[in-house]
Amino acid sequence: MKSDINLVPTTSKVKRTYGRIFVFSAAVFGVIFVIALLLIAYSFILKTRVKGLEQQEALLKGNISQYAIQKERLLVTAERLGMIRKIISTRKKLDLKVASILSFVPNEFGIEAINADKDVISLKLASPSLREFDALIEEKIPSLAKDKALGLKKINIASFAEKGNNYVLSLDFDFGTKTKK
Amino acid sequence: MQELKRYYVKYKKQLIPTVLLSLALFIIFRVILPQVSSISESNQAISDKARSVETLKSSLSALASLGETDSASNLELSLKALPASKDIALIYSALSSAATSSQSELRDFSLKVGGVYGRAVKVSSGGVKGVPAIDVLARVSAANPSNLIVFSKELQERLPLAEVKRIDSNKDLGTFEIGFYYKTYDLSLISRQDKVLSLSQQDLNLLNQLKGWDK
Repeated sequence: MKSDINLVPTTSKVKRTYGRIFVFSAAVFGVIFVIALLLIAYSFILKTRVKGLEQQEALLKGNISQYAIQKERLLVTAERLGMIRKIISTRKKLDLKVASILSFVPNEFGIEAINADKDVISLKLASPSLREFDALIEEKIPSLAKDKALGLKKINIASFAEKGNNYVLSLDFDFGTKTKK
Repeated sequence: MQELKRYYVKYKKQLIPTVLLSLALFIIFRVILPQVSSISESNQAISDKARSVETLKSSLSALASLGETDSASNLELSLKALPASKDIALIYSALSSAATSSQSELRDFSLKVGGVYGRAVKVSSGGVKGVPAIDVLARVSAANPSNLIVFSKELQERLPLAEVKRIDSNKDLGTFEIGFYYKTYDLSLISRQDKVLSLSQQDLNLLNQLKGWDK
């Protein structure tokens, strides 16, 4: 009979190993199960909250519907005012430009013609005195050219002619907004 | 059955942990992951709904504080300044009033009404993007050529809003090319908005300015 065979340690080692595996798997299952339960509970709480907010939303919409007419008026007014503001701030103030240019023209001159658009303002000025034209060309026009607020790019003398008892000067005030082709 | 019982007894120690771990995996994939996704969606929904509720509360507050008369008169004024359609009567009224204020006389005016159907319906002659304008040609006479410029200024301080695009004057007679602004609106689209704000101080100041121009 062999005396070196020892079964006792092998059986208890295996038993211990299986025991550990069992405990581990049970623990893992237990933790996962508890986490799942907690998540289900939390999800339920959130869904209840969402439902509550939806009810509140519906109630508020119902209350607002009682003010349907005022709502329409206010919304249309606000929409109009937004556009009106945009129009007022972007429309070209042609009258202001013409008035600014005319303010440099001495009263001695008669205004024969004005042709104005957003790019060019043309003036035809008449006077019987050549000296007035000197003063206009030497003093007034350079002052006008220095006024940066006007946005003038060029001042041209288009023509100068004698017409009856008067001399007529045509001036072009170019604002340079037209893009060259 | 006896066979199964025998296998169970023989392999009990391996079977039970395997079943427990399999169940754990099943719970992870069929319960936990879907719940995490659902929780994320719920949180997003709560955030959106809460924002919507706040918007509705402030809208309700704005509407409740609005006076009946104020809202009607503000609407009327803003529609006079920027009509929803081409209003010839308003245009004539503005031209006449501007002529009177500038000591000039409105001789005649003509307007381009626009196409009735098809391509011609597209009107985009306005100087402001997205806001159409009806083109009007007005002939005005005045004793003093500078009064014609005053007419131009006066017209741009009248309702409906207008922009003088071109001035051609010869001594006492001037021809003005004017764009009168208008803009249609879709009431059903506007009414669908939930967010309603009270008029700001800037809006009230603008309304006061328009009241001054309502001559």
